[in-house]
Amino acid sequence: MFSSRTAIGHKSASRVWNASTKIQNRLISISPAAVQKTNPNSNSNNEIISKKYKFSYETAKNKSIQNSHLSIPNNKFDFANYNNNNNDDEITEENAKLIPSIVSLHARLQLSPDYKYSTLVKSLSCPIDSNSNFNNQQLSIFGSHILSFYVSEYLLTNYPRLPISILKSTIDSYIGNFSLYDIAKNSWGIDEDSTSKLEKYLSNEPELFKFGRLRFIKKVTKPESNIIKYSNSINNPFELSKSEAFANSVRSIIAGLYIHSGEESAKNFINDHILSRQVDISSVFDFKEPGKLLTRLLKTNNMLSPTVRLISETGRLSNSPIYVVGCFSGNDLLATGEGSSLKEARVRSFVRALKAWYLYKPLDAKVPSDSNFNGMFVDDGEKFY
Amino acid sequence: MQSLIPSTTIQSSRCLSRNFSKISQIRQYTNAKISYNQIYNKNIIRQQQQSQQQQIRSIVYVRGQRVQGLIRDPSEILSTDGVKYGKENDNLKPLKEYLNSLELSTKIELSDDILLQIITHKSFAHGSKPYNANISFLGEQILQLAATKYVISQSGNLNAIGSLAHRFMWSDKMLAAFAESKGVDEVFFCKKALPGGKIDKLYKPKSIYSTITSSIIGAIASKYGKTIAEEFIEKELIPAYKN
Repeated sequence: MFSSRTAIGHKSASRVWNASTKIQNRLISISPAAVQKTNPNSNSNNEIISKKYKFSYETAKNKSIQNSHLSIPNNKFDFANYNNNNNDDEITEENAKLIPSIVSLHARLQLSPDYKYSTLVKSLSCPIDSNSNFNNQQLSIFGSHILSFYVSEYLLTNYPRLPISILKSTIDSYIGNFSLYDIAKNSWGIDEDSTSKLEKYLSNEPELFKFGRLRFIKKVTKPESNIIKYSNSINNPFELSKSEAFANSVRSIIAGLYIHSGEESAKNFINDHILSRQVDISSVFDFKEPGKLLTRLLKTNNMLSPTVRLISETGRLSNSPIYVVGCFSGNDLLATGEGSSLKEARVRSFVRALKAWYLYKPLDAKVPSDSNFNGMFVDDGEKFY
Repeated sequence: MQSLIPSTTIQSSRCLSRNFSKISQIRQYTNAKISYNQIYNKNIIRQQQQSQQQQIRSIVYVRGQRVQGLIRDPSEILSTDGVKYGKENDNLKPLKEYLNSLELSTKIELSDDILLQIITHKSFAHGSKPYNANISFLGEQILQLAATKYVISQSGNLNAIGSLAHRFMWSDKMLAAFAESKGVDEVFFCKKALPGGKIDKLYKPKSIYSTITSSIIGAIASKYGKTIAEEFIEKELIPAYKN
């Protein structure tokens, strides 16, 4: 029997392929995924830490900080008195200007002269051990909050009817680890520091130049064959996957932009580098029972239930017939669909009608952070069973 | 066409026998206020009138005990804790009073539709009424950014970011407590599966009740923009953290 899912999957695969980002399909007849909790044995420090998020951008926002040199005041909301006892590891601005890759990155991103070169160095330094404080942990958390807000307000105003699960999936395909990795690696040309000390010595490279590359402890998921890993600790807390390390550098650079040049320029930067990338939202939808869903949707909007009528056909008796059907509510044509069988055409018309509803886009929508913002469309929420 | 007629007759007689078994089930297990004869007669009459119809469903509203296959009384679904869903003044009064008491640079005046949407959770009436998921999502995003910005403005550096207190600022616990302290959670339409009723410890589930606060922020932002929403957070929510 023909199933709707194969038809849609096939269509989306052939139509759009977005650079290196693979968008995860979401079933939309189920409610959005809630935060899952890991089993209490593995991590029972506190409730907030043990939460596990579905999307990498959410994980990046809610990270906890590992820093043994941080002194926390008794009143935890007294944010001014969080002191760091170890500040001597920072690289000076003069030294940062000597690193060629930092200077070229600064120029390539067209950052303003206010943007400090040492911040760029900091953005490229992921935490390596607990002694050093010079890393991008906090910058990347701040950056992911900025990114998350501006991307969500863009999507909420431009596609107000997206169900929450699709919305989160789409946000993740804009600012998840893999997308930001692609930006860092392929558009911004950030390099990873993968050479050993010996190689650096042999190539006669100044010690300082290591700061110009992205430094992080690689997460080893699979040791090489014939090698047994002996380790006291199960997990090094500073281990990062490659994509996460690159993504954190992008988040930190955006946070640096906010700090040095203000919120407005961070917003413009996100518009230019993140939101300008094309994400095909319609391919995220995966309808399990499109006919049922459409009937329900029309019913809640006080419209007549869908009827499908044949519009045109060719080659019914041949081995490659084509049918074009229209999905109507009363006399209103909602969508048309074509297919090599009546059933396929019918399901396709249902899916198109649903997508036309969910992907509604107001003309010239303003986002809430715009100065000339004048109210936005607020959706009633996804209808489900 | 002629061959079609006998087959439908067979199907409808099958349908009839199925209905018989269903009715006997209802009779056996319920004391609901429906008379067996009534349904039976109705079905028979309908059968006779529309012998071509393949599916027949008896629509009966039942109060009290729930029976599978019977549709519930709509007024029972459209109420929470005895409060009926609707734009009545009593429902919106706590929220309206709170919004009127605000002293922001702009007077906050939201339409009744959006006020009702703020106090409706998606669990209410199977999501068939406008609910607050989207505005609360927007509000949450603004709150997270505003909280982070506040932490930085207080300390002048990034040391406190990622600390427990920082992440607590948008936690469900905090938001639900805020809604309770301002009295805006008096009327809230949601579905709770709590056999214990009001004495239950989870009578107000935090993850559901936290959406009231975040959707107030989202609703303000959706009408007046980000600046006013941030002002609301700074003047209302952040002083509440300190207590």
